[in-house]
Amino acid sequence: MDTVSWDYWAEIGQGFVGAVLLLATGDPETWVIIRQSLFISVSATLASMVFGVPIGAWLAFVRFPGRAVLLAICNTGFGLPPVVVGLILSILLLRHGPLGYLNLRFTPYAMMIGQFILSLPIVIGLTVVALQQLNPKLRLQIKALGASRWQTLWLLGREIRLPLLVAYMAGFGAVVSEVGASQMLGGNLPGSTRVLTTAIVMETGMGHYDRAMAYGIVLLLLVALVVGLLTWAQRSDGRQ
Amino acid sequence: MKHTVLQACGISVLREGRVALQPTDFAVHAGETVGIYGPNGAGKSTLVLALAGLLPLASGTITVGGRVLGQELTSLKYHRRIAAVFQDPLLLRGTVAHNVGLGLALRGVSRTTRQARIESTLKLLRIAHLANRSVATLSGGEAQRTSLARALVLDPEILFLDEPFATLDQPTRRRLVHELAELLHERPMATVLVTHDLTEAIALCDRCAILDGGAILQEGLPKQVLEQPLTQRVAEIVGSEGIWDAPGRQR
Repeated sequence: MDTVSWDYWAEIGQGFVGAVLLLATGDPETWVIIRQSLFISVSATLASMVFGVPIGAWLAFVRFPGRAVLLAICNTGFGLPPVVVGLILSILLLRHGPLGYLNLRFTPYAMMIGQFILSLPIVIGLTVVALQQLNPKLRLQIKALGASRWQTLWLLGREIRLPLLVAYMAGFGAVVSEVGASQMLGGNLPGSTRVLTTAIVMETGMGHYDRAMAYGIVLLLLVALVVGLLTWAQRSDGRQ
Repeated sequence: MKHTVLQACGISVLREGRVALQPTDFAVHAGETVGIYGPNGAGKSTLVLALAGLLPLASGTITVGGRVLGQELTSLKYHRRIAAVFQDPLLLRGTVAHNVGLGLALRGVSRTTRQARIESTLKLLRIAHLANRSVATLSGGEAQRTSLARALVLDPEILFLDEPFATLDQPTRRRLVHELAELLHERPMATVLVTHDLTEAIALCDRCAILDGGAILQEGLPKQVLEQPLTQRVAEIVGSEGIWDAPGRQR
């Protein structure tokens, strides 16, 4: 078996040092990419919470024909391939396509829509599971206290705030680290649709390992932040 | 005669395709406490949940103060005139005071008024010292007192109690039944109490309905139902077989 040469390790090491320097010196290009990544993924996941939690509550509590099919679709959505979402949305957003008039292709908003579609089933699915684990009579008790529909949703949401946080983090984690849909819908335009994942793919292809590694480190730090926040929330919830 | 606050006519309930409550007539008059007594699976909770407007009806109507529920009276407006306590305390996250004040907050009662009413109700239920305690740290009896306080603070027109003491130990249960009897005596509200404890029914109720198989078999004064069961099934349910059918059963 061939041994890996010192030159290889030296190049990787040099790339790592370069990455740390880029982050430490506040390289403007790096920070724009981080800002755009956070802006797009946080907005998309927030939107999926706004729509996903009420839909999840509806699926958890209301019995109607086709409910099982909708739940199955949501569960399938957990494994929705980002490239397929990117492909379908790209076709819809083509200049002559049904949504072409919106002129959204290769904009951050197209990426947001893609990421919204990817995180929505995760939020709905986790909301349904969390609500189904509550005492079924709790909803009746809240109703009997004189809560309106939205007050009931708010109080139930308060009861499952930790699972909802998990849903947000799971949705955010899934979309901030996906590359397929972002590449296809955004086009990796600098200062606009270039995000951490698309930038890593591009810089690696160009042999700029320092930049690729800098973005990789930031992605890992974001994941660590998500895990840290969840652990902290679980601990403080347990103390209550 | 006292006026009728709630009148149910021919109400029935289906649960998962099964008849849980057969077409039933039921009335609650101002200031009275009506007991619903019966064996497990008789449909007691279904009846009380239906009367409280918490279950969809398969047939029949419920009239509250002369207005038909769901037509002339929305369920939200109805729920803001009643209160319910279930077998489980069903408290929400937060402190005892937060839980007790929840119904008032949902009705938009001001913070100052809310605070005063919470304090007086906590004193009434002898749990003022628990006001700032998290509900997660309460004992079963304390949690059920909190649940009762959460209902009584609303000063409801009708109070629905669905076996509120079933999960408590005997001494706590006896004490709470005694205290509740005093509270119900002092307040003008109508009360519907589901119980499978005859002593509880006798201690608390002015009138009693015996339920079995989703149908009311007999209604009357608790003493009357106990001493003069109309059918053998009622006698079996209230445990007065000896009174009903002496020769073969006397020991």
